[in-house]
Amino acid sequence: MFGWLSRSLMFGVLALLTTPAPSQAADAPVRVEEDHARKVRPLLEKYCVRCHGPKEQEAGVRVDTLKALFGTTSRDADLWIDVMDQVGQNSMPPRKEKERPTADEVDMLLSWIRAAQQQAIASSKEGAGKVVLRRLNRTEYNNTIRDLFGVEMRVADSFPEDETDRGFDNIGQSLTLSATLLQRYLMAAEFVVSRCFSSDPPPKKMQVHVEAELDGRSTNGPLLTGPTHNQFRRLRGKSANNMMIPVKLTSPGTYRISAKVASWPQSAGEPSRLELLEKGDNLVLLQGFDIFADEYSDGELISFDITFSPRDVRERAARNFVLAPAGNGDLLVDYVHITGPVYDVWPSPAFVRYMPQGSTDGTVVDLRRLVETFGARIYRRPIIPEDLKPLEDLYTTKRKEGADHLKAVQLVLTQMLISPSFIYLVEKRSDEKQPRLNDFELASRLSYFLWSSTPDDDLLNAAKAGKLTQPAELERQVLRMLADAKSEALVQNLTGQWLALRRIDEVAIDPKQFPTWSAHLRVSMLEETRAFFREILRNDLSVLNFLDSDWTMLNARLAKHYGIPGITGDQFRKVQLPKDSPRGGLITQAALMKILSDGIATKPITRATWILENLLADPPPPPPANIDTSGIALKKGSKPTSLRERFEVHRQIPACYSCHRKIDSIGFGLENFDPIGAWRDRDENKLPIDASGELRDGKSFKGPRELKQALLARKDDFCRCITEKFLTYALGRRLEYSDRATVEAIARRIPQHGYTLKGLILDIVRNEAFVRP
Amino acid sequence: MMHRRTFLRAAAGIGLSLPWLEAMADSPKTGAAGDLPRRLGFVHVPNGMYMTHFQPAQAGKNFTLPYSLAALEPFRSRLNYYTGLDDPNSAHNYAGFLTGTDVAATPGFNFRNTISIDQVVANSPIGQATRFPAINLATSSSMRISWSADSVSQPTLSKPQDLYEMLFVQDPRQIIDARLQHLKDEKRMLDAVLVDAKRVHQQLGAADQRKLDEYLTAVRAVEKDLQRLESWMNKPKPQAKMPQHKIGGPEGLRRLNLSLIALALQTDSTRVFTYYAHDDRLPGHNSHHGGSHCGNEEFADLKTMPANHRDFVEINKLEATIFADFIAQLATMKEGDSTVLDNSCLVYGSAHRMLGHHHRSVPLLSVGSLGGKIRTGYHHVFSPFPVNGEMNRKLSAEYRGRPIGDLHLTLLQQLGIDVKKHGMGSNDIGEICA
Repeated sequence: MFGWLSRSLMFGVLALLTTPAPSQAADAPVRVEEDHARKVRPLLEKYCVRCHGPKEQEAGVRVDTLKALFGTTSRDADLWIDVMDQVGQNSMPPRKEKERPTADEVDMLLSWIRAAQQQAIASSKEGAGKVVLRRLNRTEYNNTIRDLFGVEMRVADSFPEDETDRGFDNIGQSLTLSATLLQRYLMAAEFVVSRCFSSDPPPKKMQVHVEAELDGRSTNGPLLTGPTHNQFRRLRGKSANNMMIPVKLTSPGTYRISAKVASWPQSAGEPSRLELLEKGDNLVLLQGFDIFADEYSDGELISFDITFSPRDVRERAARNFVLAPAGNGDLLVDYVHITGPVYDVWPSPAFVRYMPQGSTDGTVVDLRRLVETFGARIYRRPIIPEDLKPLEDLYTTKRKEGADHLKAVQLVLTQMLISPSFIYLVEKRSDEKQPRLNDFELASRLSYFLWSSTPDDDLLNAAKAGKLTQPAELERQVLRMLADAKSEALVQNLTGQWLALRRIDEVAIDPKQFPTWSAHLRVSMLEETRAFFREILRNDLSVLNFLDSDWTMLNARLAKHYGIPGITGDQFRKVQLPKDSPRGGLITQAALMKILSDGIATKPITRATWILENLLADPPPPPPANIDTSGIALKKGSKPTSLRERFEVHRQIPACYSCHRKIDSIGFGLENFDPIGAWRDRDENKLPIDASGELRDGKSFKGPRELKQALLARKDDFCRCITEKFLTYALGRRLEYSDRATVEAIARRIPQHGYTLKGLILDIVRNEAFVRP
Repeated sequence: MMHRRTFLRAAAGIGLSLPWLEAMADSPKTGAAGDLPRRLGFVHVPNGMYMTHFQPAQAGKNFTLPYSLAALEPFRSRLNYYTGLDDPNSAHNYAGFLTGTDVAATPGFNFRNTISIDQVVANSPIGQATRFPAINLATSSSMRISWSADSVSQPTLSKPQDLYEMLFVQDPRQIIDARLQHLKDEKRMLDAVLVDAKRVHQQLGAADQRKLDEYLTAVRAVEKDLQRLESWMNKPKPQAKMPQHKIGGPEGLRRLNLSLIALALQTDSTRVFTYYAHDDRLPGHNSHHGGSHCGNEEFADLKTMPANHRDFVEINKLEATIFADFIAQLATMKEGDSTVLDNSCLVYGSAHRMLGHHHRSVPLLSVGSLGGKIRTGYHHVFSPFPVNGEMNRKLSAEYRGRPIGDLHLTLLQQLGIDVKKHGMGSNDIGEICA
């Protein structure tokens, strides 16, 4: 249901950028009135005025005096909505009337009302084109803390979920701050500071060591004596053999799971797949490993780190890790070792760096130095006297009460972490005509765009030196940041939000209907789309690959799912697709097909809507309320009908058809992909699939390959769409009507820089919009 | 402080102590229903119901409960069914169900909701008198129907374990002591950041200032809450065992959450709760959402209706049965001469009628008389609504019922909270008042 909410929110202004068409949009305010006089009024006079005019006002409604007014307080606006509902649902004119508007006339009327409504929304919006004070979202909070303190703690996992807007969770307008959230900030800050600025000895490490062959609970298979006389336990492939290791977490932190394993020597060629899982309510795949057979090896050491947040430990301290073979090959396990919390530096890299003199002794002078160095990192800008004063007061008061230096420092740092200067990306008001971000604000905007995290020393130094405004330095920083591992956040967030991967678990797959569905397939799907995005970003490939490509990123599991031979192992690699393959491009990727299904059947409308919205910048409006759907009823005892027949009913209801005519057939084009993205020739009712259709511009296609060609023909729309998505994400705000020119300008340059994401990102950060508060 | 502990056996065989009754024992007014706490609860099931088998066919006193509501039969005289209450919200979400406000007049623009009924109670002396001013539950934490006055959706708990810990697990003394000391530091820090925030405020543009107002409001609310927490810190939590249910899966979780809520009401840990119960895929059934799209034409004959219709009816029935079992628990919880159920009013329903996002005359019923304040045993028909045939055409064309806010307003007033308006509701429903 929340899908509808976000859809309707999303609809708002983005739709405006596209409907009406760009050429009309510029002078659209005139056209609403003009069209009203020229087309709409005559239509109403012809069909409606006899009963709803000067003589009669049935139901108290009079349409001839209706003005083209759509402001939020306008009574006329409400009546127009009524007109839209009544006419759209064929309720008006009454059925007995012989003279009725044609489908085109109805379509014209409904489109006009919608466009006028949207325009009113856009033009009345306050603070248009302004980034509204953004608070850190959960991802940004976690990353920021990690980069400040040098310790992964994931404390924000216990914050309330962030509000999303247009699919993005970094939109300032939408992110709210409640008392509940502030309480969590306080708790998180206290935890982080007491953990990272501490004089306590390191927490005692928990250790669990299991010699596999001594695990008396089951001895499936023989005990082997390997080349170095280590004893192994054999876990057979294609069986339920596994090893479960129960552990009790002692404190939050990072735990390391390692194991000495080998592949059964006879499993030649293909590696044996080992999965490390965690068994809670469900079995969660943590990591998969390919174990290659090698006669002369005494096994290989695999290792995996997992971080448990305070919330994780609070919720379930007793955990079960599971080692299981997931492929055909048999596995040999020598031992499993689990230990934690593990850390490189105690209590934290930040402590070692910023409190080198130790913890217990110190005065307000030391405090001041700490705030001016580490505190400046926390606030992402230099500390000013106004910041310092209350912090020093707090420190002094606490010392007077008998607290030691460290205790007082902890309090100061905690206070900084709940201050608005940390929680919000503060951009100061500027009264100039052309307001600009200052260098530090720009550094933050850049860093939360590319890293979803706080600026590092290099970036802050550039800001301090006033160099960020120099184009060459800006470009250097962008390229440096994109090359940094932290830019993986960009991959994760854009694939998670623009490409909806975060929604992968929204609906459960029925395992009876789809026996090949597994945790391994699930992560393989997700990784294909991420790796695909990464490949395009890192290697400067054309963004048109998102629409169609003759390659994709595969591992063995997904290649099998796609019926592509010759791929072994779990590593993702770029694979040239066979000539006749329907794969390539985003819309054939299994993850998307899965996300856009309901777990049982495909959802052609959802798929089509997704494409229109996320690839073509042409989102259809949400369906109107109170639709008369009497035609859709499944009659008693009726036979299953084809999708096409079921959708035919949309044509009978004008309120549906005006939008569904551009939606439905795109969805038909993907019907060969089942709910988990595997190829099929017949649908769930065993009826043959007809994957032909026609785009709104009249271009017809048959099957996914031709659909992709048809999409490629709209590459300008795609460039505009990807610009809108990146720009929305980069700025952390909704795009407005007034941003249309910016979007057009950036999108137009995409072909000029060879359709690269780097080019797009550079154009965005160079744009005026990016340096404006 | 508690002097003695009274252990009772609750329906599910749970040993627990009743601090509230304890407190009452010290007061001379023991046992009179008028002195017992009154509670409100709201269980919302999204996506509507199969109305032919959910809405009673007869109006007034002599109505029979239809198939889906059969499990509520033992409570027929203690419930009201409402026909003709409209959810205000024409967009596709449930933001108006408890706020009574049409937040979607302009979708995607200025999304401002008003306060929901549970938060009105939470902010009143009634809510402030308990350890938890309100409890908001949902199947998943992203589902929210409770809103603050500043249009912030209230976070929801979804895991029974979380709820149990919050309600009944006592922190050790040393943690409480440390916490009390801590509260002092926290208050100090909040005072300081408030000054900080005001300074930042002056440097911001108007839109940013409004955003930062959320922060200022939050700081003040947290400060106030810290004071409240401090006062509860020394009072032990009531004790109860985790209820056990044989059924697992989503159904088991819903039952468990409701059992815990029953205990929360009984122990007077809270006096108002909301539960957004959306288990879209209950075992053995298709999705609730999918089911609600089974068509406009409803069938009366359960045996011959299409299988997908029957499945949807069965989902409705199962969910109503889970609710009825919760009611049954409340009915066995003695409070003086009455029961927790007698002193509560539990509302059950959906913000949508059915398919096509119809929000007129939504499925809605309430159980319990709110300590004799609500007249029960009626099917109230505010505006007649046929359950079959023409319904959707009629709906979209001319049907108008009463705003659901009228019911909220009435409940609030009967609870003794002085409000004149709730969302779009400004007329109390006299017929349901005792």
